[in-house]
Amino acid sequence: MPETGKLNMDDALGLAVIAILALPMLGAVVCALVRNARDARWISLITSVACFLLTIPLLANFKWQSRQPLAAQFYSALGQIESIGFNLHIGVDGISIWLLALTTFLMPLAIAASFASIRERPKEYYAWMLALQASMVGVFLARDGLLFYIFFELTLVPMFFIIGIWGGPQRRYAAGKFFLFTFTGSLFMLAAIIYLGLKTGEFEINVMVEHARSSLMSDRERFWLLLGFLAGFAVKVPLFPLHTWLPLAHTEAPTAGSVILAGVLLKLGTYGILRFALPVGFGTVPAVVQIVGIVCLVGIIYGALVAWVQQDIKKLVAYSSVSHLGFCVLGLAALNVEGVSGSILYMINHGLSTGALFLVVGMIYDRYHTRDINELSGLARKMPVLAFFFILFTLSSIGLPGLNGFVSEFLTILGAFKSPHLGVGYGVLAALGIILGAVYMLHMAARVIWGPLKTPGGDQHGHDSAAHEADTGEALPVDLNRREVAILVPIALAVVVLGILPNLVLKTLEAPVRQLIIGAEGEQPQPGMSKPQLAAAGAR
Amino acid sequence: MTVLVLQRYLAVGAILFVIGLIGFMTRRNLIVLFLSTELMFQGIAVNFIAFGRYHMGQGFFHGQAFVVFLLVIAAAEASLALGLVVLLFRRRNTLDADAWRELKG
Amino acid sequence: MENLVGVKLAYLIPLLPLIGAMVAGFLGARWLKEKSHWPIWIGVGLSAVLSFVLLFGMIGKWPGRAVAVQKPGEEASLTTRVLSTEFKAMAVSVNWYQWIEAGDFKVEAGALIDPLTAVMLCVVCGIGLLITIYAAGYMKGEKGYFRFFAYLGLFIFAMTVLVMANNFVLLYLGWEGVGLCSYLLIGFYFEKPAAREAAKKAFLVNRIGDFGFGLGIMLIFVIFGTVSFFGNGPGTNSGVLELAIPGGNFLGALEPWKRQAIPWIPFLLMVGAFGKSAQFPLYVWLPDAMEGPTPVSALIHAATMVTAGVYMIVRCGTLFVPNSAAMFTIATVGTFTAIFAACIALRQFDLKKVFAYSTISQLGFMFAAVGLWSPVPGIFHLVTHAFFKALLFLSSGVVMHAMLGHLDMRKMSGLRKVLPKTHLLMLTGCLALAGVPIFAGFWSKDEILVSAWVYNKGIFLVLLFTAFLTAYYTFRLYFRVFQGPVMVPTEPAEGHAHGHDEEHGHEPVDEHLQGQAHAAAEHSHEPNIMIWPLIVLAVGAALAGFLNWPEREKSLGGFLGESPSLILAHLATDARYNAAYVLPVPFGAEEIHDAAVRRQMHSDHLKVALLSILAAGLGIYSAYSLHLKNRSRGEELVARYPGLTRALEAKFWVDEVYQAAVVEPLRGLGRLFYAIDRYVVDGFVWLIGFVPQLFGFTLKLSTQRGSLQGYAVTMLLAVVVILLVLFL
Repeated sequence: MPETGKLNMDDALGLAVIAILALPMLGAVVCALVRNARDARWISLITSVACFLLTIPLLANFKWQSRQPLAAQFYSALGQIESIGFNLHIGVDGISIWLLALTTFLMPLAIAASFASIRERPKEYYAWMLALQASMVGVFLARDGLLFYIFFELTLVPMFFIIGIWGGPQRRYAAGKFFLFTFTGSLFMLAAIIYLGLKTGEFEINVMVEHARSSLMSDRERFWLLLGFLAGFAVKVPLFPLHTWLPLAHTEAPTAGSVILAGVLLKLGTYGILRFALPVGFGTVPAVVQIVGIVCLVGIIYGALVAWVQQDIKKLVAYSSVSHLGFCVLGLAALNVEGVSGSILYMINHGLSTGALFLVVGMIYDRYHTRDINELSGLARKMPVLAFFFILFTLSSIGLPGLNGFVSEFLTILGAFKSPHLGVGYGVLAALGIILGAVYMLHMAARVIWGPLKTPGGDQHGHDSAAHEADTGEALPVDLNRREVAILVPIALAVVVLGILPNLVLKTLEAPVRQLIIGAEGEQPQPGMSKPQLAAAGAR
Repeated sequence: MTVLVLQRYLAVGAILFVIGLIGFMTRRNLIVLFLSTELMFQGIAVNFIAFGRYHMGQGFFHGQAFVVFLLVIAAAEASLALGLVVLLFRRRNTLDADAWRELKG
Repeated sequence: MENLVGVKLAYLIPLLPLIGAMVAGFLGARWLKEKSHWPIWIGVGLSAVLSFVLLFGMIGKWPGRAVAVQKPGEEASLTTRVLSTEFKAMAVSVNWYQWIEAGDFKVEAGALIDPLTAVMLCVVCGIGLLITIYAAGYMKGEKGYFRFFAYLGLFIFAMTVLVMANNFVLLYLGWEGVGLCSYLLIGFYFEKPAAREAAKKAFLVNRIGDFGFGLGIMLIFVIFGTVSFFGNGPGTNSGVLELAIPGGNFLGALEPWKRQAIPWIPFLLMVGAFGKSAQFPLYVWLPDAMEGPTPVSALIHAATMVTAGVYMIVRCGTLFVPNSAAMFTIATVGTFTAIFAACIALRQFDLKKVFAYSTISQLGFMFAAVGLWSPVPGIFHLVTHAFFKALLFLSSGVVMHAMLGHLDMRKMSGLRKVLPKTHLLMLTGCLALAGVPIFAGFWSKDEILVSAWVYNKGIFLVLLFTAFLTAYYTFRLYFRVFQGPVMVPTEPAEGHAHGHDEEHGHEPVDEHLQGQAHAAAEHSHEPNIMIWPLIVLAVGAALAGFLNWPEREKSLGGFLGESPSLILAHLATDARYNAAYVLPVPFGAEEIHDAAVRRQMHSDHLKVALLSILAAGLGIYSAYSLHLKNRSRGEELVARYPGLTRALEAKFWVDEVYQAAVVEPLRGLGRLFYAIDRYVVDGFVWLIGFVPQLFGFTLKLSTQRGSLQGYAVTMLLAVVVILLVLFL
C-alpha cells in the first residue's frame, strides 16, 4: 500500500514539473488574449506564484541522498524524434533544482514590480514575461542537449521584446545588440552540441557528457568542444571581453527585465558551463581553464573599476555583475568541491542580491525618473525603508559575512586559491576584487543613500506623487508602499537565511558537484595517485 | 518512344525555354516579362513530359506528375502575379520593370 | 567547565543583543520611539550579567594548572603536555551548528570559551552596557534614536561573536560585522558629508585589512585543512592553533611548499589586525571616525572594536610567536605607530581628535607588547585602556554636550568651575592615560615597558619617550580645557556634532541648551544618566591596575595564562627558541615559574616603574608650564619650529598621500577602463559586425541594383559557370 502511495507521489511531482513548464506558456497565451490589462497583471502574477508554489514540494521531496546525484528526478519523457536522437525529456537534478527555484522565486517579484511602471501595452508585456519564464524554466528542466539549446535560445525572444518595447531611450539598439551577441555565441554552442550528440548517438545531456569524457573522444576533440561551449556561454555569462552588451541591456531594460536578466538569464551561461564545458573539458584541457581563470580575474577587477566611475546606478550595478560573474566562473574553473559549490551558491546569491538591487533602483526611478548618481543624494532621510533595503542588498552584494554573498564569494576564492589548476595567485587577485567591490558599492551608497538630501525637482514630493497618480493609477508615496515592501521582504529574508544557513544549499550540492568534478578529473591529485588511477576514478 | 523522337521533343522544349529567356532579358514590360517566364515554364514542362513518356515503360510516372504539379503552380502564380502587376500599374501608371528599382533595398 | 551555567548559556551572550537590535530596529521607528533604548539595555544588560557569571564561574574553577613546570632537558613531548587533563579544565569549545560545508571546508558556528574570551566578553558587554546607558542621555531627542540603539545592539552582537568564535571564519564574521556597525555608526549623522565620507573610509580601509585577513584564513585552510582554532577542543590536536606548534608531527609531514608558506600566515593576518586596530599604514580611518556620536567613539573606536586586532593576535599566538620576523614587524609597527600618533596628537585642538590619536598610540603600545612575546601585558593594557579611554571620550562627550557641540580646546578654558563632576572624571582619565601611579594606565603600560626592556632596549626607549609625550598631550588638554580662566563658547558650533541639519529645521537635540545658549557658562549640563556610567568607568580607570598586581597569585595574568592560546603560544615559543630566552611571565604563568626569574622581573619592574614615573612627571610638568602657567610660551615654542608644526598639524600629509597615490590612480584606471570598454572592446565588436556589413554593401553596389534583367543575367551567368564547372 505505501509502495503505491509513493509511486503516486512521484507521478504527482512529475506532473508538477510539467506544470511548472506548461503553466507559464498557457498563462502567456491567456494574458495575450484577455481584454483587460488588469486581468493580465493578475493572471501573470497568479501563474508565476503558482509555479513557485509548485517548486516547494519539489524541493521538499527531492531525494538528496540519491546514489546517482546527477540523475534526473521527477523525470518525464514527453516524446522523442528517434531519427535524430532528440528526446523531449524533462526533470531536475540536485543542481538545476536550485536554479529552478531561483527562477520561480524571482519571477513573481519581477512581475509584481512591473505593476506601477509598465503602462504601455501591458497585456503583451505580461505575456512576454510569462513566455520568458517558461523558456528559462525549460533550460533548467531540459535533460536533452537540443531541448536545452532550444529553450536557451527561446529566452532571447521574450527578452528582446521586453527590452525593445518597454525599455529606455536606446532600447532598440540595446535589444538588437543583446540578441545578436548572445545569438552569435550560442551558434558555436549549438555546433558543439550537435557534434557531440552525433558522436554519441543521442542528445541526453548526461549520456553526451559521459561519452565526451570517455576514451572514445580524443583530447583534440574535447578541446574544440570546450571552445565551442565556452564561446556560447561566455557571451551569456558574460566574461570579460564579451560583456559590452550587458551594461547597455541592463540600462535600457525595464526594471523587471533587468531583474530577470541579472537574476536568471546570466545564470544560464554559468549553468551551461557547469553542465557542458566543465565536465567535458575543464579537467583535460588545463591550459584553457587557466585562460578562463585569467579572463575571470580581468573581469573581476576591470568590472569593479569601471563600475566605480559610472554615473548611472543601473550601469554601476550592471558592471558589478561583470565583476561578480567573474567570481562565479572562477569558482567553476577552480574545479574543486569548494569552488564549484561556492559558484553554484554564487549563482543563487547573485540572482537574489543583484536582482533586489535592480528592484530598489527601479523603485527610485519610478519616483524620480532619474538614475544619475549626481542627481540623487541622501534618500535615507526621505525614504528610510527604501534605504534599509538598499543598504541591506548592498551589503549582501559586497559579501558581508552573515549575509548570503559572503559564503559564496569566500568559497569561490578559496576554491581558486587551493585549486591545482589555478593556485594562490588567482586567489589573491580575486580577493582584490572584494576590496574593489566594497569601493564601488559604498561609493554608490554614500552618494545615493547618505549625504544631504537632494532629489531632482527639489523636495516638492507632494506634487510628484500627485502627478504619478494621474498617469499610473497608483499613487507612489514618498517611501515604499506596501506592494513594494512585499516584493522586497522575501528577497531580504532569503538573503539573511542563506547567509546564516548556507548549508541548506551547500550540503545538497556536495554529492552532485563531486560527481561532476571526479568525471572532469579535476579533483586535486591525491599524493601518489597517478593519472590512470584518476581516470579509473572518473569511469566510476 | 525512341531516343530520336525524344530529341525532337527536347529541342522544342529548349527552343521554348530560350525564347522565354531572351524575352525575359530584353523586354521591360512587366506583363511581357511574366509571359516570358510562363514560356520558360512550358519549355521545362515539355521536357518533363517527354522524359516521362520515354521512361513510361519502366513504370515511372514522375514526369507526368511533375507536369500536373507545375501547371497547378503556374496557374496559382499567374493569378497572383497578374494581380500584383495590376496593383503596381495602379501605383506608378507604368508597366516598366525599372520603375521599381528601389525595391532592391 | 562544560557544566558551568555561563558556558551553557553562552549562546545567549551574542543572541540577546541581536534580538534587542532587531526589536529596536524594526519596532523602534513606529512604536518604541523614545523608549528604543530599552531592548538594548535589556539585551546588553543580560549579556553583561551572563558574561560576568561566566567569568566568575571560571574563576571558581581556577586554578586549572595549565602547564607543568618544565625543566630544561625534560623529554616530555609537546603533545603530551598539551593533553594534560587540567589543561582542558579551563577551555571548552561549543558547537552550535554547522555553518558552511563544502568539500573539505567545514565551518561551525560555535564558541571557544576560555579565560581570554571571558575577559574580553566582560570588557565588551560591561563597557558596552555602561555606554548604552550613557547614550540614552547623550542621544536624547535625536532623530534616528532607535536606529542608534539598533546599531549598538548589532555591534555588541558582532563583537561578542568576534571574541567567542571558535574558528577563523566565524571570527571573520564578527570582524566584518563590527566593521559594518562602525560604518553605520560613524555615518550616523549621514546628512553630514564629512560623516558619510568618514564612514566609507573606515569601511574601505578595514576592507584592505580584511583582504589580508581573508587570504590568511584561506592559506590556513589550505595548509592545515581546517579553520577551527582547537578542532574538537583543546588537547585533541585537531585545530589550527595546536597543529601549528613547531616540532609537531603535523608540520613535519607537510609538503615542502606548504611548510614554506606557513611564515606568510602571520603577515597576512597581521594586515587585518593593522586595519582593524588602526596601526600605521592603515590607521587613517580612526581619526575621521570621530564624526560619529561620542558614545560610539568611546565604545567602538576606543574600548572594544579597535582592540580586536590585539585580541586576534593573542588568540592566534601559536601562529605568530614562532615567527620572529612577524613578531618583530608587529612590535616595530606598534612602536612606530605609538610615537607617530602621539606626535600628531601634540598639535590637535579637537578634544576627540586628541583622544583618537591617543587611542592609535595606545593601540601601538598593545601591539608592541604582543609583538614582544607579552600577550598578557597587551591584554592587560587593553582592559585598562578600555576603562580610561571610554571614560575620557564620554567625558568629552559631556563637555561637548555642555559646550553646544564645541570641542575645540582653543575656545574653552577653566571648565573646572562649569562642569565640576566632569572635571573630576576627566582628571581621573587623564591621570590613567598619562600613566600616573596608582591609576590603571600606569600598571599596564609599565608591564609593556618591562617586556620591552627585557627583549628590546631600542623599542623600550621609544616607548618611554612616547609615554612622556602621552603625559604631555593629555595634560595639555586638561590644563587648557579645565584649568585657567573660565572661557565658554556662546555660539552653537557649526554643524553641531549632534548632527541636525538646519535646513530641515527639526527640533534641536537639546532644546534646553539651545534656549539657554547664553547661559551656558552659569549652567552645568551633567545629567545623571550620563554621569553615573562615568563614575563606574572612573572607578575602573583608577583601580583596574590592581587586577594584575604582580605579587598576587591570582591575578589577571595568571587567569589569562590558563587560556589555551597563551599556553600553546608559550609552548611554541619554547619550542622555537628556548625556555631561557622567553620568560613565562608575559604569558601569564608567573606563579609557577622559578623564583630567580621572578625576582629578576620584579627588579626590572621597579627600575622601569621609576623611569616611567619620571617620564610621566616630566610630561605633566611640561604641559603645566606651557599650557597653564604661561600659555603664550607654548605658542612661542611652536612659532620657533614652523615646519614641524605644519607637518604635525597636517598629520604628516598621510591622507593626501593616500589620495594621490592610491585613490586617484585607481579611479583614473577605472575611467581608462571605461573608455576602453566603450571604444576599444565595443569597437572591436563593432568591427566584427562591420565586415559582413561591408560585404553586403559591396554586393548591393555591384549586383543588387534592382534591375530585373540584371538579376536574370547574373543568374544565367551563374548557371553557365556551374554547368561549366560540373561538366569540364
